[in-house]
Amino acid sequence: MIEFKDVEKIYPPNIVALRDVNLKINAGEFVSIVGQSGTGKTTLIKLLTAEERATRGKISIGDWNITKIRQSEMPMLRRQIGVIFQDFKLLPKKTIFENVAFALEVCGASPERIRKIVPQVLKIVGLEEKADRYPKQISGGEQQRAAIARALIHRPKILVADEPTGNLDSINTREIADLLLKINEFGTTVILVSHNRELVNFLRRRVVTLEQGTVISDQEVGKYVL
Amino acid sequence: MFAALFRVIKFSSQDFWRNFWLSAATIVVLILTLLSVNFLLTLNFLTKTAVAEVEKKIDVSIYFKQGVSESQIGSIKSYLLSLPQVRGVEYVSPERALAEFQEKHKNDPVVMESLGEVGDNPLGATLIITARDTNDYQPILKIFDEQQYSSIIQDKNFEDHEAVIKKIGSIADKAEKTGAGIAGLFAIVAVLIGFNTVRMSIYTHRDEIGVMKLVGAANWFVRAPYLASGIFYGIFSVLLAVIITFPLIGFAEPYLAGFFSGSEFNLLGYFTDNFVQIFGWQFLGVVLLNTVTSTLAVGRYLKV
Repeated sequence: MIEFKDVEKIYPPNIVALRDVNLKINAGEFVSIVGQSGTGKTTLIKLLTAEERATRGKISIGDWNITKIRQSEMPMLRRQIGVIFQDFKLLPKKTIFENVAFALEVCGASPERIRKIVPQVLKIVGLEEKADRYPKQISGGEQQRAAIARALIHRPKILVADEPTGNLDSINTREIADLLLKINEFGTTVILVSHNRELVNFLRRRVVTLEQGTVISDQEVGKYVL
Repeated sequence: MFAALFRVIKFSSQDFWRNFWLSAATIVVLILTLLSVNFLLTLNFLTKTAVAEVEKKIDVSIYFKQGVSESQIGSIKSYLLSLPQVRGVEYVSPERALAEFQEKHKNDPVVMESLGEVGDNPLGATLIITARDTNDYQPILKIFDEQQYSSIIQDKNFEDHEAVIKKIGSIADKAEKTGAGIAGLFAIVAVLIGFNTVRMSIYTHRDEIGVMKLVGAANWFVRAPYLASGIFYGIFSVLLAVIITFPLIGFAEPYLAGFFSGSEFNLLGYFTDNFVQIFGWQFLGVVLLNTVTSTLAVGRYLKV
């Protein structure tokens, strides 16, 4: 279970990004975090992946206190939380296979394991035929699917998607939504940050709404209300 | 362990070839830096050779009074040769001194006529002393100020040479200090350029470093390919600097040797004899520069 308890994040000199955030996300849940730009959605994700440190409060994943995580523990945390972004963050000079394999290589996986797992994950996201292509040779939706494959390669317990459809058209958006639902069905907790009303309403899952850094609504089967 | 090492080398070489122009630019800057260092070494070698040549041509003469016995002068010569500052002592007999004097002034009838009027050989014996260092002349000649020598010495020509010796000493000192200053300045410029080039190279990899951190790479694994690249850059740049330096020396040597005709001048020999020291230090320097720079630059992007 992920828990945010009285979390506050203030950027210098005195910019409040999050205030008194209390949130519990159960294992296997699919949660959409919505809100307008600048309401602290991405900050919330950065605190969860320990890219940023909370000014106050406590964030935990199971028994693991993320707010006091040591630098040496960061790689372990990152392997348990898959993250995808609006801009995909694929390496342009690596093929799709290499991009996905890269996540395993840098963590010391054996070549045999890489040769076995990468095609499996590429098959899940439907890119097994395009493994040898470079990111610029495939569509935006396919690039995001490649990014999802990379995020899934460590079989993370949590998948965080930060505006994953921001650069995609409605057809590709729907495909990514289906893929995220499929991943969630396998038991992975999915946290989706989005201000895409259609996407959030289509999912019909839990919706947490942020406004000016505070949680103003938390609905079990919610809709984009802003 | 082997898999990790292999992967570090693989990432590093992939990075090298896939960013070929950036890698090439980095290596070119490093080669230019090394060539500048080699140019300074050449300049230093030329200065030292030139100063040594001029110093070799300097000597002082001690003119003895007539009637001083050859054995007396011989014992003085032996004593002088036992001094560590003395490189050599040449004895010129009164007869040879006269012959040389006549040869030198054979076209001057007044001098020759005067010499004829004197009749006997008016010249005494001479000792020509060469010191190991121009600064050694003063203490050597100070010996002849002692009472026991003043009665047998006619003259010393040190005063004639003193100004020249001081001037050369000062030129040599200045040349050495200026050379060191220029070398220092060049070294700073080279380090700054090298630092910036490597930093630029890593800046272009910030996304890759970010992705590595994102997918859970350990810090050492993020740094390692850049350290390996530093070693690659070191190998390539030193190798190419060697390939460029030696033909350049071969080309320039005959022209430079022309300035030092009659003396031993072997620039190629200097670089060959000191090959390991010169290029070994340059390799270590480049690797150290890359290591420090990449550690600092990567550290900046590791904070993700």
